Amino acid sequence: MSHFAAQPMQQPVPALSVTGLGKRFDGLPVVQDLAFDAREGELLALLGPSGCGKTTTLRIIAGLERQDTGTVAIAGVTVADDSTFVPAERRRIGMVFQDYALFPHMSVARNVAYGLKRGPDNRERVDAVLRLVGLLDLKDRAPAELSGGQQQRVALARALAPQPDLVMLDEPFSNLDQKLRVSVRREVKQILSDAGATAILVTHDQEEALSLADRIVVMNRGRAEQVGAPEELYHRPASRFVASFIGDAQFLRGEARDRIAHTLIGDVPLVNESHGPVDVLLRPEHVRLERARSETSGRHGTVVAREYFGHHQLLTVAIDAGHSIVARLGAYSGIRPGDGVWVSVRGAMMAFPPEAGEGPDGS
Amino acid sequence: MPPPALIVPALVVAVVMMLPLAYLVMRATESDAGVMNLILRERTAVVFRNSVLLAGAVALAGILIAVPLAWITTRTDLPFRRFWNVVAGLPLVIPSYVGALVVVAAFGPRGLVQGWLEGPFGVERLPSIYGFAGAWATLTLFTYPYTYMSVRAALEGLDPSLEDASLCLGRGRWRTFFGCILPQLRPAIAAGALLTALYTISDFGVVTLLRYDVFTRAIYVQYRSSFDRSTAAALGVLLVVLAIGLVVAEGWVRGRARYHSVGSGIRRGARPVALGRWRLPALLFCGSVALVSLGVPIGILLYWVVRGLSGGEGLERLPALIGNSFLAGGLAAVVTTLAALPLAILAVRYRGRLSRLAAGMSYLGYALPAIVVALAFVYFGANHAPWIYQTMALLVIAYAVRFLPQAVGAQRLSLLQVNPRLEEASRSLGSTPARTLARITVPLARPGVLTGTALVLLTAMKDLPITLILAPIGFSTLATEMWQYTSTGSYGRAAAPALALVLVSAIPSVWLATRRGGSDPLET
Repeated sequence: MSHFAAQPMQQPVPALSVTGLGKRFDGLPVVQDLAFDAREGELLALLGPSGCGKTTTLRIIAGLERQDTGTVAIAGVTVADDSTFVPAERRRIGMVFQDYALFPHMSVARNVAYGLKRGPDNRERVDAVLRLVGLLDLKDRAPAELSGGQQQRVALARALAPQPDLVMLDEPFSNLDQKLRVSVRREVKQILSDAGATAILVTHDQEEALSLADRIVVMNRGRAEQVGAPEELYHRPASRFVASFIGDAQFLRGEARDRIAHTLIGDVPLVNESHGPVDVLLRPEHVRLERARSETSGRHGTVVAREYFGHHQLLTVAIDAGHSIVARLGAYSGIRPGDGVWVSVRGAMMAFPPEAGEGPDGS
Repeated sequence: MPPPALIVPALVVAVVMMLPLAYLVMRATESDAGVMNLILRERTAVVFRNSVLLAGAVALAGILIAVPLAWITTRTDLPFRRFWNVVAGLPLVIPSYVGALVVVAAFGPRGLVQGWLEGPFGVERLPSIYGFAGAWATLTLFTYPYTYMSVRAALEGLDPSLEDASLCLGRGRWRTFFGCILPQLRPAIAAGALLTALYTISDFGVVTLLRYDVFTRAIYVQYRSSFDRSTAAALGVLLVVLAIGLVVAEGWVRGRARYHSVGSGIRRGARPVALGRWRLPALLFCGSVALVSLGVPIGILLYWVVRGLSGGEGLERLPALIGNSFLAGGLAAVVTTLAALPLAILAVRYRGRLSRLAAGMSYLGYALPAIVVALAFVYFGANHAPWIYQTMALLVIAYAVRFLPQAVGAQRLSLLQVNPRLEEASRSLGSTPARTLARITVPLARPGVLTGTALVLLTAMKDLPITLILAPIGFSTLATEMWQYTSTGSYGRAAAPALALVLVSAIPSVWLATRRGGSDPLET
């Protein structure tokens, strides 16, 4: 963001601005009153479960669908509102499709050159973009002769070649196997930042969004639940949905007064001031366990299960008074299944209004 | 909303397509006797029943031959598979009326077979080949390739990984075929069967020669005997109603499914299925279909040619006739292909009234028997457009009206397999809808487009009634020359142009088959 500092008086124009977006399919709302901005040069993720409207949002921005209500502006220019509809081909948006959509009847180089205006510099531009994605050697291959990861990079190169104002990626890593996914993800992030592109990434994979995006729009049932940086979403989720969708979440029923909640495991300090019944969000790594000194000295519960992951482990504690809590501990905790434990928390927790009709239960 | 570049040509084509039907209705309502009296006669009911029966029977028999044949010749390790793949489509080059002539000469009274049996066995009468059975068998043998080619193209377009997935899910070959492959072939089978049924109710040569009383024969008899165009037109309207019923049925069968494969969008080649102990039965099946629909008719034609030559007939007119057939058929193929594209794209890529209209309109030409199309254009030309009357242009337009469905059908099948994401990718890369069509959609649909062009070329060259009535004066083709001699009973003279027609129209078939086999679309 250093280049914005040169003009501190002026609010920078967002690379993409979506306001009041709404879309129905067959009468059913798919996107409702959706609004968010993408800043120049950032990677913004649209994250949500399947069917939350994120791909529809992407297609509306790209001009492949028409919204029912709301506006879309790219670099300050309105491309879609009630009276305007700039067709897809004039929006200067590079799309990377989930299945890549490489033209099977064209070579890699011709795929990449497809979006370029005819001109003498074409060949150089194609070579430059293919060099950027590391596929210059394969320029004369047909798409079918490439691996999944290579097809992915060709799709990215093709989208970047015309130097679009915006690059949009629709579940770009879902067709890759797990191992490849991590390395391709890293490559794509590097390529995008080398290209200086503003990018919108659609994904249902929270890990992907957390590790790649500068900011994330969490979507649920066609609405934006929260927009923010990954840390913010993780530590200060705005709703139970965001809390459960990003990271592992468990909720503990309690009675709050100001910034303290009385729960099964004693008083828990709260981040947000609350009153009355609340559900307190406990991330497993916020839970501390301490072995009870003897059978008689009192305790909260018993460790009933352990999942070992090498650098950390998950211990499930059955609380004597009711349900269970999962704690993430280091590899050498010294606590084993069968041990009686005291449970406490590290730092202040988030409290949410309790969910109707549900007992005090960890998820 | 489709772009104007699509709507305008589609509307122009639609107007031209409407012309013969408008004439039919106009003429039918002019009748003194009243249209309803004409339609409600008992003979009309018989004719209607016969037409439906024949069309259904021919289409069904065609499916039973074509589907196994297509699978065996595209997906298995059948010996000489490429050869059978080509041969199985070839009966299409034999005009069905030539087939009818062959049947009459072989199995009719005083035919070859009776000749063989009469001497040693004293057989004087064979079961009659006239009527339903003869017409059914003859039409089936020479029209099953419509279904075959349609299914074959679809099988080649199928994503083999779906088949592999089914096998991996523990289904055997048979259950994979019926549970996984066959449902995916449904649009292709329906399109093929529809073409066959429409061909059957429009056929004029076979039912006339084998004397089965269906609409086309009744219309022809009416036209020849009294020049009463009102009666012919009224029967024609009924025939159109029948054909429209077939179109509606086709839409229902096809359902709303989308048949492009999801996944990477890039196909890999299919592995052939090992036939094992089914190899010999499969070979026998392919062999006997080829023998009956190809070998026997050509053998009998050759017999006639030899008899004609030994009787002093010359072949000097043949080159000019071949040239004329190619000229008329080639022009028809090009014009029809171009006219069909906007309709096919509208029907596949856009939903709504306009695209349904486009799809329905494209079948309209086929719903009119060729003889009525010809009469409609003769009337139109003579009365309203003398400048085009008896020109090649009018002949080609009439061909295009009649053969448009074949081109549209083949194009639709290919377009259905083009992943819409590819078009969207093109749009997002800055290409207009028109440029996307030209650079992405049409090139990817090319196999189907070219199949459609070849189909039109084949059928236009084989056409008889339109050429007979609309060809410029002095313009003879192989078909008209053959019909002329056939109608005077000179089979020896008719056989040479018939055989030439068969050979000449085999060229596009062979070209298509070898072209497909020779190059992978990704290599070019």
